[in-house]
Amino acid sequence: METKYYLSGQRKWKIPDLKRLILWVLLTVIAISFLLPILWTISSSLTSNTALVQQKPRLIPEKPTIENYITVFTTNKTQTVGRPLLNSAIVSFSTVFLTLFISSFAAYPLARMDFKGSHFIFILILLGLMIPLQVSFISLYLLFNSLGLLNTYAVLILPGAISPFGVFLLRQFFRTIPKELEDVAMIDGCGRLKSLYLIILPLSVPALLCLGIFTFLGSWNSFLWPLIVLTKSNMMTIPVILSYYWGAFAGVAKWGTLLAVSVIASIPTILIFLVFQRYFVQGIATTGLKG
Amino acid sequence: MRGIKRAGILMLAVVLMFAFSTSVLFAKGTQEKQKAAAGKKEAAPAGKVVVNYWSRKTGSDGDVFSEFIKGFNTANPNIEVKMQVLPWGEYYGKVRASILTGNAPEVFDVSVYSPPMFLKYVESFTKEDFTKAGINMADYAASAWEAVKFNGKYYGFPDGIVPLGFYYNPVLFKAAGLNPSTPPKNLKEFVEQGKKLTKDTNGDGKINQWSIIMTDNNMMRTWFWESILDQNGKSLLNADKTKANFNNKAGLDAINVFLDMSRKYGIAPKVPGNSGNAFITKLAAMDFDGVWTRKMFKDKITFATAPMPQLGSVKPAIWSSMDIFLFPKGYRTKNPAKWEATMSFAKWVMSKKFQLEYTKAAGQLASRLDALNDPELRADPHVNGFLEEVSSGMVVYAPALKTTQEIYGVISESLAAVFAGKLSAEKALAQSEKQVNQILARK
Amino acid sequence: MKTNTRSLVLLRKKVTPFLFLLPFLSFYVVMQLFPLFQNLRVSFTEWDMMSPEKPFVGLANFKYLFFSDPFFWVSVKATLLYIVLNVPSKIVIGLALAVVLNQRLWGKAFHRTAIFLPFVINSAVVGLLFGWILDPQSGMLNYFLQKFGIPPQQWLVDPTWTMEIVVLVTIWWSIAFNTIVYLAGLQGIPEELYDAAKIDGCSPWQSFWHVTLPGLRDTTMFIVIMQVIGSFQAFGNIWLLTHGGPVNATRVLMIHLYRIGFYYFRMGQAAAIAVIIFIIVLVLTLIMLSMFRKSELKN
Repeated sequence: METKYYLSGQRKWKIPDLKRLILWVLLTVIAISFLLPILWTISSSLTSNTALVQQKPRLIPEKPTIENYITVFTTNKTQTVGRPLLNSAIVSFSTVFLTLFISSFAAYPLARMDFKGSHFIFILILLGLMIPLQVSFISLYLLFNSLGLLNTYAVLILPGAISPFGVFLLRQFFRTIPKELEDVAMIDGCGRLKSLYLIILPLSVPALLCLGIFTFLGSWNSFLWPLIVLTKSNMMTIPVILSYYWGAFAGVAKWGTLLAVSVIASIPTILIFLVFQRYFVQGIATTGLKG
Repeated sequence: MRGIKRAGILMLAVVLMFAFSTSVLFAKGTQEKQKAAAGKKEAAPAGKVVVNYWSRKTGSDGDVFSEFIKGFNTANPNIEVKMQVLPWGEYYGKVRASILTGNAPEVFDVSVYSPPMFLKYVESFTKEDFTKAGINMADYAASAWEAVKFNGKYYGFPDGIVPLGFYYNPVLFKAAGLNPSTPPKNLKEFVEQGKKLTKDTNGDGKINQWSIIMTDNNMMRTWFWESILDQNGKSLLNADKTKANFNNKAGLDAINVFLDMSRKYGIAPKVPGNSGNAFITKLAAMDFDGVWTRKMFKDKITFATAPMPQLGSVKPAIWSSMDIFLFPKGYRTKNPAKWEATMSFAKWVMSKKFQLEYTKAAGQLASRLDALNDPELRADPHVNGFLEEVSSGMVVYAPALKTTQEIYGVISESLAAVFAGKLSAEKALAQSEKQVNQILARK
Repeated sequence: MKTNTRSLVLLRKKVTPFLFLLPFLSFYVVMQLFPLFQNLRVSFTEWDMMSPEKPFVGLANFKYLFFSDPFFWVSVKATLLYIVLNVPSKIVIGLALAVVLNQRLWGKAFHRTAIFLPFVINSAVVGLLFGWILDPQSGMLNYFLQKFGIPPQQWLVDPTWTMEIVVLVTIWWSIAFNTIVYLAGLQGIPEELYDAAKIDGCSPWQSFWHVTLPGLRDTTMFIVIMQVIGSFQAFGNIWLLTHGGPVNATRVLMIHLYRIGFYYFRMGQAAAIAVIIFIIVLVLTLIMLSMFRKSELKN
């Protein structure tokens, strides 16, 4: 299954074994150096704060301890990671669901229907790729305030669920699905909506997964917007809590604790990545981003 | 007909799904809002008045403070103070946004140079107001009141003093043949003792214990430079705070005295670093740092404190900030019950019991004189140096202007360039003077 | 009756697409286009983020940025440096990794996982992690350098190499995106082209030049545009590592905007920077698109 997506042709040549070996060594060195910071974080998070300041850096902790993890789950209410983990999970999964729903609905007519203004709307949506989110913070803040939605999940979910990139990606993918399939269904009396969820969406699983993963990553890792907008401890997400631990003055001797939060913050995204990793490439490959 | 029906169903389906997905979110939001509104405007069912308190105390001081608040809430069954700690980087932005949108907390804390940007939006007090609230102004450091006084009115409660100062390691002093009870008081002593403290303890030919490591924190460096500038008899700005006043010999000497630590006296490494960590790991025997750092040093290293040595030429001085409580406008006139609750919380924070206990437990110092002069605190080597700084009157508060943060921003960048060896001290001062004057001239 | 139905069908045809688009467009207009417009308005005013009034000041904010602001041009320079360092290197490295990862080499799954993994990590974690690794005193990097007899370096303190370091960290963190898109692009090149090239006696290297690269032109266009847009908007990765310092070496436009807006509360000027960034990105994207289109026509 997987090899199917890797047929760029290089296999056709037999690269001499020595060159392959060199290539392999080089790639392995790169791979390990990419992993090293992550491994080091994990090992340091298993070292006590005091030992981290006092000892020389070492990859395998002298006296492994889970005290940092216990600390971040049990200390004072404002600083535990339990609730933020839950918040992040709620926010991320809702964002993924909403994004897929909204984007596929928007992408469908742009890919499949001929209507006046479709070109204009598509360009308008592409324009959205160029808006730096940071510039909208104040207006968005005021908007959510006037709706009375500050310090709710909505304020964390909605801005992330509007994905011009998602619409673009799905539109490209929908266009690759043969039109005939739909035509046959329509003759059978299938409406547009039915055709979308009976024919188009089931055939678009790779693209939907791809968009879903990217959305999840973006939402889980979203940092600045929640940091600016939240003022209640019980709504904080994981990256925001991390910044609590990382005060310029307070953080100096708390590296172990900080790194434990970092590891906890990264575990869900890493798991998602490991499980769905092949859809990363597959999704993009089949969406035909080439045009 | 079928066409109409299908179109209708389609429309209905889309609208329903859209409505459903959004209503889930919005319903949740409205609930929260109603809850928040209920908590804010009226007394909760139990008859409690809620007082929201926003704070920048992100370190252990915040934990300690919120523990204390639990005590207050228990002692005052009709009041519930809700403390919300917010990351200091975005803190002022959040306070501003909350004032703009009418969601301001009943009370929030700021640093010594921040009240000017809030003057229009927070309550002010007269001396009579304080007397009426049961606060005797003479009980507190006079300088603390000066720091919250603008245009003849007092704009907040100065609940804590946050000076910089001097830490040293008595064990290393003894090992170097120095008397730990006579830490350096001036530049000459500092260099003499520093030379003895700078050594190679493991015999590998490289110095592994320095007298001090210059901080690599831009703000700390700037504040210590300002301290020496004050010691040299000048101040950051002129008397009416309209012009920079540091591009002179006093300012230059203040830079050079720190550069000289390595290039002239050889008692500090050439490159700056994390001075607090260096102190903990005994890479440095002394540390210029803030009063809040004592909580970090505790349990990790034996240390003592002393007033900042006079490295400048004219008088002792040290930079200091404060912790100030401000009260957004609105509650005083519109919600007397709430205002009363807020005031009793503020009064509690200004009480001797709180000030003393909090100074013992957390970073900052009390602004109350009887707490500052408490015999037990005075005997505590972890804090007595800082107390001495306050009671001897050598603390100099940062200038309070709307643009102070920005002024420190430009100066700290120039100084960073000097300490990275990218800019001469003279040029750095001239450049910052120009930029600071530009900032001050803007209106 | 009949004509009625027909006109209804016609109406439905007209309305249906918009019904599908409705959820997205309504949110999009309210939460992205409207704030953009608001931002434009604020850029002509003076506003401290607290007062209810926003007095109109015309082009004063832009004038200030261009002629009086001590850091605007510094930040323009920093942004350009960031782009010059970031975009080409990430494209070349991303392509190289994709081509190599596309080979049949032992342990491919491990290689791919290792190289893609940093991409899923939060920017706050990345900033924190590298802040520690690069710490001049207690950081791992200096420790290992010293083991090899190299004197400790003032990472992130000495402004000389800071931007390069920031870019290196960014590459570590986000190269996966380019690599993935290139891997996907490689799959789109028909195998027959390689067969033909082989018959013509092309070496692997030659076939890379004559088959792979041209086949990836559209992918490259996509990546270049995304990278340039992304680089102008780069914020988190730089902010969390250096806060724009030392000595403004990494104060890119976005950081300048954030400082002015959210630290010094001159929202009018911050909004003006946002407008400038938006216009630059828009113009650059249009230029790039037309350039690619021209080269497409030539081929």
